[in-house]
Amino acid sequence: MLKNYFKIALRNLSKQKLYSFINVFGLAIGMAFSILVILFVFDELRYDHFHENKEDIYRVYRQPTSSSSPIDLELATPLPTGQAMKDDFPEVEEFARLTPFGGFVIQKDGELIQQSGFAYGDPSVLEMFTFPTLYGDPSSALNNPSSIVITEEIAEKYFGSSNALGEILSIRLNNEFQNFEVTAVLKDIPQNSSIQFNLLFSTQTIFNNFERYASMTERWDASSTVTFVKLLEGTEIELVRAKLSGFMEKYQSAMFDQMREQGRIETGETPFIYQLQPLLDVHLNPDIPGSFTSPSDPRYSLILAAIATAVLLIACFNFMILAIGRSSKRIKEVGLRKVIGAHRSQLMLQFWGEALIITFLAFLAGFVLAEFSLPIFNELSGKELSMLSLFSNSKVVAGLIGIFLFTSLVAGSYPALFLANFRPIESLKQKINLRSSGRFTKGLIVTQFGLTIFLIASTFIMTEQLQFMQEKNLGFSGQQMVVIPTNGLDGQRVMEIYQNEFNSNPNVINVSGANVSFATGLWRRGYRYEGEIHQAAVFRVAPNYIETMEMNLVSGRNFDPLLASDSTQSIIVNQTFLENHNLNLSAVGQSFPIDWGWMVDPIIIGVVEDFNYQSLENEVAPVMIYMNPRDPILNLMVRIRPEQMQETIAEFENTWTSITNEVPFEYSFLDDDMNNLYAEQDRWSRIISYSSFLAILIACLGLFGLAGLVAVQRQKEIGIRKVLGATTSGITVMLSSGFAKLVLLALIISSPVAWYVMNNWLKDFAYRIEISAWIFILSGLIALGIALLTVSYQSVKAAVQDPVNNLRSE
Amino acid sequence: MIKLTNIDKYLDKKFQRTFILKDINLELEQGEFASIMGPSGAGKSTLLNILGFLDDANSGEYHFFDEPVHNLSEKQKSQYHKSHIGFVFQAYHLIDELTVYENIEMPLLYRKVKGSERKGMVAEILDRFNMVAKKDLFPHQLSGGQQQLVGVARALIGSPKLILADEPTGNLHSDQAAEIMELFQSLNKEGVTIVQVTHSEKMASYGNRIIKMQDGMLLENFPHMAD
Repeated sequence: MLKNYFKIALRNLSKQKLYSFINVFGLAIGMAFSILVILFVFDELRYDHFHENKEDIYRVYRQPTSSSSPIDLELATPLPTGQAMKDDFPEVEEFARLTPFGGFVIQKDGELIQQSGFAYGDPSVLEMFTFPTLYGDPSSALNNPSSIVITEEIAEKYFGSSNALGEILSIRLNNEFQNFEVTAVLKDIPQNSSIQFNLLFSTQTIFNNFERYASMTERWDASSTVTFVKLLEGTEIELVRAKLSGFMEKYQSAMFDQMREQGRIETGETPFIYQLQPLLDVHLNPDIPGSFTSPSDPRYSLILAAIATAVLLIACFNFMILAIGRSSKRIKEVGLRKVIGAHRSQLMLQFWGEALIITFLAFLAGFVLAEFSLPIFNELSGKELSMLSLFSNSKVVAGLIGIFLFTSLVAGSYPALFLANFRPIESLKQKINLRSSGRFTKGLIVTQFGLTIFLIASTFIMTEQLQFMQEKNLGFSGQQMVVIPTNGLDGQRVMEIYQNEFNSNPNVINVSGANVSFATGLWRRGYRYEGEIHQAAVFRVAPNYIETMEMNLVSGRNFDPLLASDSTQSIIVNQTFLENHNLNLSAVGQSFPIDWGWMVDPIIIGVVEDFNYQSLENEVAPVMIYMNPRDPILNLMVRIRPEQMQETIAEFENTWTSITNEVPFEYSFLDDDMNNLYAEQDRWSRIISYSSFLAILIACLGLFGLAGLVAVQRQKEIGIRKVLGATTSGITVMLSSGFAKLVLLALIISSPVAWYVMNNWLKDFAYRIEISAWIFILSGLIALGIALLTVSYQSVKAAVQDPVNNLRSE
Repeated sequence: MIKLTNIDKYLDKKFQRTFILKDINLELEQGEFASIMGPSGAGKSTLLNILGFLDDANSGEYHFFDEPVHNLSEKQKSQYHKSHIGFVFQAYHLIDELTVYENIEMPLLYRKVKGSERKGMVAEILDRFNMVAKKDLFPHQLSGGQQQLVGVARALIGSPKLILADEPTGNLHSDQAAEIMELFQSLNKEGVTIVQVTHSEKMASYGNRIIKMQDGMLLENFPHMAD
């Protein structure tokens, strides 16, 4: 029996080559997409799962206790945090500090190599975490400050083999090359680890070499390290969390008292605690920044899964639409089989079996497609996924089988549930009223094109918003603006050296500096104004900052380097600052009542037009710009001319190396930094645009097939019409207009949905475009245009046929 | 073998009841070769369908080998299809995707006959119909008469007690039609009961009984008209 079903299925497949191709190819695309999404989502969910103690490890971070707290969420903790937690909480079994530590120069056979990927960690790190070890004893590898742990990649790079145990690496720390013995070689850290490093120093090494760290080992007022703790197995985390407030009062009372004194927090308020974040939450919680890698937003996994489902559904609908289109033929078979004695359930089995066979072929093709498109997908998603990982886990295999069964079930549902139900005499005489299924077909097509138009419109809206963000006047100019972080050097001194060196250089317009550049971080300070606690973004700048950044002064004056009071008692604020404090331009020249100790009641000397120092997702906050030397210069901001940019930057590097060869020269362009803020959005807009392309491709394939079937079914009608004088163009229009109506209906249905969803997406942005009607009109026109183009081939083909041929067969 | 008592078949439309069959009383003995004749719309095919359990009467009783068909469940009717009744259609109704061999074999599959046994049965019938050489051809490669031969072979493979044929020769030219009718005759002689619907007196003359119908009613019965 099965053999018989199988034969019929295969012969149907090979006989109807076009329809088989449309079905298999469409489903294969849907499958391939689903496979990639499974890989993606699984990779996301399996982050950090390779650690044996994954359930018990927590990352410590500084969490503000309320939204009005003047303290920001921060990942860095004071150096003694871990030890104190271990001492005070019996539930804390062990702690480990593990922090990325930039790059250093390694000397190898007389050659100097700039090596990145360093981190430092306590000796307990390699026991707490389970990084697969190739050589050496992880439990003791970091006991000695002259030890270093490296990954396989580094071992191969410097020693030519992965077994580098006992080898010596010469690394320049503190201006001298020091020898470190390799005490363990780890396998390369898996890509789905939120902790990434290539070379691991012992914490003690850092203390021995960097005075700054050594001085902070017992200090609670400076945060510099990422702390992890491991709780005793099975500990209720809430028990520990309940004690965190008291813990803070014990160790941070000095800071809290000071803040209360300054009026920055209310009496009795605890402004922040050191909160515990589960290790498994680290990658998937975008609200807490990453220490080694950026966390990702799980919403995007959901969106991706939704898109893949949509594409797969569109392909399933093709299957159903074409099955309906050909059903008149199958109905006869159904009737016959029933007369001969087939039961309804046997027919359902047969039809679902056929769907299963086609789906299986599509599944195989989908694998091949997925394999081929994996590099593109990896680039789009920023991952290193591999098809092999599909089979490494039973859950993924279950997911694949699930997709396979789901697809065959949905695709085969129409013939199985609808066709198998007909009564035999009706089906043999073909008295079946197909009008109801016609409505069903139309519903499927409308759904397909509704989804497609939704994706096209979303692509447009995302692209437009991205373009808007990249082209919006930000209130400053990021072009030809080079940002050079001073990376721990004395910024004031470096800036002065650069100013001396380049002030007369024709390719350099201005050398300035600030505590913080844009897009990379933000300094905020709290103060009390009219009884309420406020926060402002603060920029400690060099005198020529405003003109270097090409900001617009709307009132008052700029800083005057010759006026001593400007460097201590003057501030320039932005327009939002005035608005937030109900001030107007008459405040210029007045003092503003704040008391930070080192700056008391400064004078507002000028007002600058609002500028977007952050991503446009965020609204501009009140800004204070001042020159007070209490805060350091940490970034040089250099405006250069577009001519000979490469040469100019090479000169910057030369100057840098003349100052230090301990810290590598780094630079970026400010406009690149700003654009990088939208990398995630950019990635998603590209993924959506690929998806909409696939969706419209599959939908049109189905339409092409259906138009062909309709044309064949209406052959006789077309023949009669032509005999009675209809023109070819008239018949083409007649055949095509039915489809056009469906696409228009899809447009009407999906536009409001797309508007609603995309409007929600846009709400993430403080500065956003208005969704205009033309986006939907254009999306509809594109869908309509492609659909008509697809259909017209079949329509024209049918319309130009000689009517005699079509009528004679009757 | 078959006993129809007061069979009515009608369509209800609002206030009007249209009878397709009205008060049919008919008995058929085993071994009969009956032809139902009458003008278009007389209810011939409906009667045949009711005889073959493909359609239900609205009222009346139908006994098949003393079994009350009007009380049978779908499943039991399906059992009877498989074991007692073979159908032959005017349009042959072969499955285009299956070869001659596979078309003939299909009823056995639904009857769950074992593979080896099946092979033997199909081979036997192919042999009998002189179609061994054509067993791997597809229906569209055959002439109409040959297709109908396959149709008859398929109806016969389950050794049914009753063959119902709805204008079996309607699409055939006279030589082919005669061939099918002669086949029916010889089957009938072997004891198979045959009921056919036909427009042609000539085709009816192959049988031994003519049932005339008009407007849903039996006009006259001519039992055992010729031998």
